[in-house]
Amino acid sequence: MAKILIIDDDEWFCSVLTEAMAVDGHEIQCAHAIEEGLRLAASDAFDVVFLDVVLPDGNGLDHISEIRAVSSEPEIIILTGSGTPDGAELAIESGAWDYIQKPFPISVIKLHLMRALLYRAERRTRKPAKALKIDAIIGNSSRMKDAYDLLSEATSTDVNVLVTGETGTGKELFAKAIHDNSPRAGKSFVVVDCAALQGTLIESILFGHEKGAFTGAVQGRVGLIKQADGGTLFLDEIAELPLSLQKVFLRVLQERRFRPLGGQREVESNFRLIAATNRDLESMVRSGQFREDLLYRLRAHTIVLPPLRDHREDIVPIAVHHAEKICKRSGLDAKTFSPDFIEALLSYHWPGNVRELVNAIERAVAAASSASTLFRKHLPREIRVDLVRASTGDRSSISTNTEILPSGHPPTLKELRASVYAKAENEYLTDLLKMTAGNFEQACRISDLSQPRLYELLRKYKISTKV
Amino acid sequence: MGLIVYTPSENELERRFLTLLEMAIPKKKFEIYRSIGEMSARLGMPLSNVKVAVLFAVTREEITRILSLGDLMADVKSILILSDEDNDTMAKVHKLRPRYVAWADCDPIDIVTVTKRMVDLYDLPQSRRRKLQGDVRTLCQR
Repeated sequence: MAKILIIDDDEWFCSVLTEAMAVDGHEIQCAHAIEEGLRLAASDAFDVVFLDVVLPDGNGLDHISEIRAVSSEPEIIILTGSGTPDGAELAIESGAWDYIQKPFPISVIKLHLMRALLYRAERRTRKPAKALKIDAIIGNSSRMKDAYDLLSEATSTDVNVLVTGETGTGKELFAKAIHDNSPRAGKSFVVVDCAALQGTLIESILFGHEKGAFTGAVQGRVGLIKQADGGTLFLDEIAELPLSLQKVFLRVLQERRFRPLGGQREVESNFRLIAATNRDLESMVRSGQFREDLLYRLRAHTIVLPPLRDHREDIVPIAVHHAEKICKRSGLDAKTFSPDFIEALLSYHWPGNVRELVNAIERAVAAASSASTLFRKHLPREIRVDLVRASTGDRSSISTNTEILPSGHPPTLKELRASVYAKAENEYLTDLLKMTAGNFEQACRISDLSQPRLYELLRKYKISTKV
Repeated sequence: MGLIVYTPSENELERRFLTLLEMAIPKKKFEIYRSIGEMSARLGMPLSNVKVAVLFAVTREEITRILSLGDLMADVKSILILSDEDNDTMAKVHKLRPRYVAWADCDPIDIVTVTKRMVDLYDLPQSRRRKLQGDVRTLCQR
């Protein structure tokens, strides 16, 4: 039987769910806040975690990675009374197993639990993924482990792969790693830069041409598709491929044969296709900029690379790796990181992802010159400015809250949290009752609280139910 | 300075290419290297900041020399100009993951056009590139 953790501030809901699942022999523990839930998740080997979204000390969706990172790597099922399509998408992209909207019958939750447990059992019996050669890719977070699992799956098949992710997340490195770990590794990995090659040039480069096929074709040339025969064809920035060429390329994908420009006979090429883009191809399909049939062909296997801000635990290891590499390359002594440098790396939001981080490390090493330690001041100016602006914002928000602090000696952080939380909860409930004119059903629906829990809180804060 | 050009032999194609490149990218915002040693030293600098390289590799020896740069070229988007296209040469060339391969008998305008485009794409500061991509997407969605 399974070990299950429920993280939900609704105590009544927790007790109902506990009772229903305990009947099936499962061992259940409950937490009513994120902090308590994270502590429990790390202290025992849970198989499944039911996670509420709106919790007293934070949003459950923000903590999916942390929960998945504990040693038992539990499956996470999100439960929410205020579901939105964006929230559901975020949950699944963050690695949640499922996303269920309250209210739901117990039979539904039991079905989702059974499916998650079946998947988990199957995952445990699965052969361990073969050791991958991924020297150029750094990261051991749960988000990166998910990406490595997909990379591993891609190496054991020959299907088309679509690698997506924001700019600078390492799409080309992943594509190369798939090739290097596949049976095609002994043959060429051929790159086609669809953004750099425009107009008629890309057609002759892809398909090749016969002598005299067009003005300037003084000699016949073999195209990149043929050069990838036996190996991998990597179409980078595939969203930039002109519509007219998308149609032609679709046929090449289906038949693995094509006619060079000016050629009389078709040429065959046994290539494996990997494509990459940072654009939303589905929305491009909707707006008529990308062929739907080509998209279906491309995404036989899709790998979505996470932005760096979603796997912050990898920031320091990536920075250390590249600092060592840059120092070695430049003949400099190795550099250490000061605490303020590490803090700055972890605080910045890295919109340019790993590429921006590596660039910042390169500039910091150059700025530090012969100094043995990297400090925050060695980081590029624009990053330091951004950090200072952000910290100024934080300070102002804290100062507005200081009025709730008791005068005299400062409280502990725990006391401060409890005080801020109680004040916010009190104000929220008062406003909620005013807004709903004392309508309990409506108040419960808006607040995603059960009626017993709402009564309990009103009693706690001595808020009158008469509006 | 995000663009470097490696032209060891200074033949007619290279001269024409450099003349056109100066017109496309004014104020000589690129560096020219005549030997692998010089280029290797440049790429090995702590802040190399080289994003795009145009490499004239018109002999097999030159291709081998360029391959010997190994990791120094790992983060550089390259354009290669070759004279051979036999299978062995091409297999070696693809280890560099070139973004564009041109030939010694091609029109240098094609090489300059692709070079200019790649500089625009890959040598912009991150913030400007993101803004540009955002602007392009907004236009596409209209």
